[in-house]
Amino acid sequence: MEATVNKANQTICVDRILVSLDSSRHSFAALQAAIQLAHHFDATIHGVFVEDITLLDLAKMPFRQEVGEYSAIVREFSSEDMSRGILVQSRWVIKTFKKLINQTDLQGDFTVITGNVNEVIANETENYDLLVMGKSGTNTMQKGRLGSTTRAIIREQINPILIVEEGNHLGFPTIVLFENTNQGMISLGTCKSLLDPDDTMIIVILDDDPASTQSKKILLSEWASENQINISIQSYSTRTLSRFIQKIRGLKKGLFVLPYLQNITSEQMVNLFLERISLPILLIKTPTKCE
Amino acid sequence: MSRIPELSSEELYRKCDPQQLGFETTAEIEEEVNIVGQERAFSAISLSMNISHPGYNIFVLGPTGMGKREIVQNFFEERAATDTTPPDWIYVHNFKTPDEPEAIELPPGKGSEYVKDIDGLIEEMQTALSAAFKSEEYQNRRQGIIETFKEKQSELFNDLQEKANQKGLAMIKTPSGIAFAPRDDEGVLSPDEVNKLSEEERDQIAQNIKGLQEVLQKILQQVPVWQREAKQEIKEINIEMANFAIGGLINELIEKYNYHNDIVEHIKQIQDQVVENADGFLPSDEQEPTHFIEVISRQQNGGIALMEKFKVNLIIDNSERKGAPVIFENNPTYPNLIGRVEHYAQMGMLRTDYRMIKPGAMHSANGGYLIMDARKLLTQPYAWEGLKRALQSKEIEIESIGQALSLISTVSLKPEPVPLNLKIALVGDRLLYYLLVQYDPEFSELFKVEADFETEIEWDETNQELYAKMIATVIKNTKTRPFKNSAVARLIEQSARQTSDSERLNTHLQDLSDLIIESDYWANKNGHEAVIDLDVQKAIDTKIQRADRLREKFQKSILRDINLISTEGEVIGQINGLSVYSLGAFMFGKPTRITAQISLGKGQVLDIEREVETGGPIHSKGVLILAGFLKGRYAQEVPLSLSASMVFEQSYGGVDGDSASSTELFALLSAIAEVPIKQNIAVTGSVNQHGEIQAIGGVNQKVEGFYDICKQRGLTGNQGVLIPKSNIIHLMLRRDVVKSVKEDKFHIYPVDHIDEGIEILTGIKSGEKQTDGSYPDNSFNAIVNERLEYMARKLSEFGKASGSNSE
Repeated sequence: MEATVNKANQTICVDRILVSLDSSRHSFAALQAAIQLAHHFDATIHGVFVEDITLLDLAKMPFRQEVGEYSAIVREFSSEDMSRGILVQSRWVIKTFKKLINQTDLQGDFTVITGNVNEVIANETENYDLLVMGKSGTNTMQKGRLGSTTRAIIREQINPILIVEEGNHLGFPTIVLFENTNQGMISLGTCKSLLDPDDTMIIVILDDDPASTQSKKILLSEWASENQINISIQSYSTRTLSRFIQKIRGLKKGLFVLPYLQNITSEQMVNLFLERISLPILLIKTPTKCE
Repeated sequence: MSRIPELSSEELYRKCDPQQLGFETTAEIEEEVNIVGQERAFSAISLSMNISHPGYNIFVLGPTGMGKREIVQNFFEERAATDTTPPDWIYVHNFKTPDEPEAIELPPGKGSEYVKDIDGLIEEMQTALSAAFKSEEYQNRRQGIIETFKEKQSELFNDLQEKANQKGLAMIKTPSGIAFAPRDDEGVLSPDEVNKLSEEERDQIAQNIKGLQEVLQKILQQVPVWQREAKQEIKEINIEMANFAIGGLINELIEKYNYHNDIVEHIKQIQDQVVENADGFLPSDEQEPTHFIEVISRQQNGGIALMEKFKVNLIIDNSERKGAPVIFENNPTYPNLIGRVEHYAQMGMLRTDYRMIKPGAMHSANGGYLIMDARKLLTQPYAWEGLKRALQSKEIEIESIGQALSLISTVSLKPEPVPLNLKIALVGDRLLYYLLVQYDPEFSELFKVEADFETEIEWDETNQELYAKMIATVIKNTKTRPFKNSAVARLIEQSARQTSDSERLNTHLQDLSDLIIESDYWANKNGHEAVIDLDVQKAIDTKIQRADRLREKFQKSILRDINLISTEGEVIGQINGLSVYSLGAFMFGKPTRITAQISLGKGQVLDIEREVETGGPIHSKGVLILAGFLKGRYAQEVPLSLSASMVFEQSYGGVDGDSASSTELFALLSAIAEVPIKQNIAVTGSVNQHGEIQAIGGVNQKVEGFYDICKQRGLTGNQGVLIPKSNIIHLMLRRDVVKSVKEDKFHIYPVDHIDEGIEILTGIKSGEKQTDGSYPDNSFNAIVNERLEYMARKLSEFGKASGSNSE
């Protein structure tokens, strides 16, 4: 245990950030968060817009009809209509991206790729250290907060992913879920690196064993003392987890760093957080770490 | 010459006896006298101030530098101190018609208090509203409504999604709507896969899609209804919260101002606006604006912009004032007078609102008194028209010149006019007053009282005493050293000299003040603790010296015989006339040679000056009078058979006035009689057709002009000037002239009639007309008569000889 906590000075290594953009408000919030992190890590930003092949295929089908989102009118559409619509979206996204990047001294570029959204993002993410994306896309009809594309990408990607919901920003409080794994240690170290010197890091322990919880608290306190950071430890059991969720669900500013293990329990827990809270969530999966 | 009546030195200058003044130095005089001899003007000002009816404004007229403005201001200030203090005025935003700000009258001092109260209210409302809208109660209620809306929306979409799944269809968001497409477990079918389906399968899919589309349509039509309902619910909560947050603050203020309906109404309007626009006070999670358009848009909307509209523009604050205001507007431009609406630049645009309304002098003086310089007012474009419009309508309407003339049509503010209750005094010269009376028919209606300031007062014992006190007051005001009684006497004498009248004193305070300051300077230079008469004399002399460059040039020209003037000997048809030059306030006299030539003719007297158009109409009139005199006196029996020409020799700049008409007559008579005129005597005076010599102006300067030439050539003892007797009272001659007369070196001859003058100038008795119509033998008139008869005979003979009609 002691040896593992010592690894908590490792952080994720972020030199290149990929931000997946569509015309939704979630994706605009993601871009703003990506810019903040790029400043922090001194990283470059790459924007990507995917011209969804599914939509283009749709126009080739015999049932090429859509219902206007606001007018509720049923109308046919052609391939040209669909291409034009996607082009308008991509232009708006590129303009927004350039406008925000030009207000900073960051380096950034932008790509438009045609293909299946999941596949394109999966392929592109391999070349980047961090993927930033909105919690859901332009589709307003989905139940819950997590979009299907985002859900699929989270499941499939191995690099760190920052998920941002519309109207939310990075900032204080910085919260991290403590887990005694490599991902957990890197999550703790990353959280420390993102913390402002005067702020307090909130460390959440989720453990049903009181003795184990106490032991973790002592170790974390020693770690905090050695690293001269302010921490606040909050411990919950599986039974009381909902209290924690209730406490932070209204927050619109901050960061929740979450280690993500490739197992069903972890996946369920991550999904629960993604569904129930609004804060930006940084998922740390494969430990691509910097010493 | 000794038999000829001439003036004694005492008659040439009226001395002021210092001993009569009753003090040694002006330091002893305590009583302050600011003005003397202006009873008429005082009475007029007093009348105007006591009549409150419209139009009883005052025009104070008189030359500049008399202290008219100070006097009228003193009158006003004395009265204003006991007048009621006028009300404060504020402008507030008009929420119904925003481009017509409302003017509200408040008791004096309450305006600034209301401004503070409203500023405090705004601050407290912001805090209260912010707290109310950030409260958990509000946030939870609001979030509850939003969540309910979203839940309802989501529920329908989930049901639809479920139905779609059951029918093997995917719901896909397109750029502008929602579409359905067949799917399997792997995802949406490709077009190729769809084409491979049987026609029945495709028909079934199409039918399913149609059914789902209908359901979707209903959902999408329902969403805006729910959205509106949710918004309305939120708005009701906002109103409830806003009312609760500010209700207490508003009621407190209404209670305080319950005596004033307009103010209570304004406060209620503020409350209504806050409640109606409660959304604007919600906490904003917007990012920093990145474009100036966003900056402007945010400034124009939201709670902060609304709060700005509640502020009060206090244009007149009489909180510190005791009594009524007395305002002197030194720069009466149209906007300075009527007020203006200023603009501020924002992102390259000019903007304005009711807070940019600035008062004019009429607002500041409203309820009191306003003094302006008439000339300045009339020379400012449209200021006079603006003033008249306000006086006629009895209200001050702020309007730019552009608006008033309909030159611009852009939307601007039209502030509610403020009722006008004002007494105005315009200060100006007489010419302006009479021009206004003549050419502006509205002037007399609006300025019914004229306060005409005397420029001169009589020099009697009473006025002399007052004048001395006035001098002492000026000395005190100008903070100069005390004047000895001799210096004051000298100032009084100089005052009479300035009026060119030994019986009048000058009331022009500026001249007096200047002379006092300059005398003080010389006293200081001469080391005198108190100013003495020599210091005053020095100041007078140096003032003349500064101005007499041209006089000196003329005199040198005469002394060098470039300008021909004889001061001794006798010449037929030639005489020394005297003319006066005015250079601003400085006047000086200069002798001019006048000559006459005669020949046989038909009785015309030719004025060469008029022929070449260098003579003015009055001069021409004088010459025609000569002809009238000749005809009246000498041509009753015999036709006037001469032709005469008269000229001012070496005059190139034009001649006007009739003060040389007697001089010309003497030259003409000399030419006719062939009797020489003494060149040691200069002549001035106008003449009428009966030969009576009449008073002229500038007698002192004329006498001194000839004296200076004689003196510089050397006084012979028989030189002098012939002046009209009626000018004796105007004599205030220089001391050196008086001294020469006293020493019998120079002479001043007063004459009433041309006959008296001819005797002095020729040494021959003129001769009175006898009962038979003839003149005594060897008298001057007899010689003239003989010469004229001779000329008539010669002309008659010449006419007969040439066969022409000599009639």
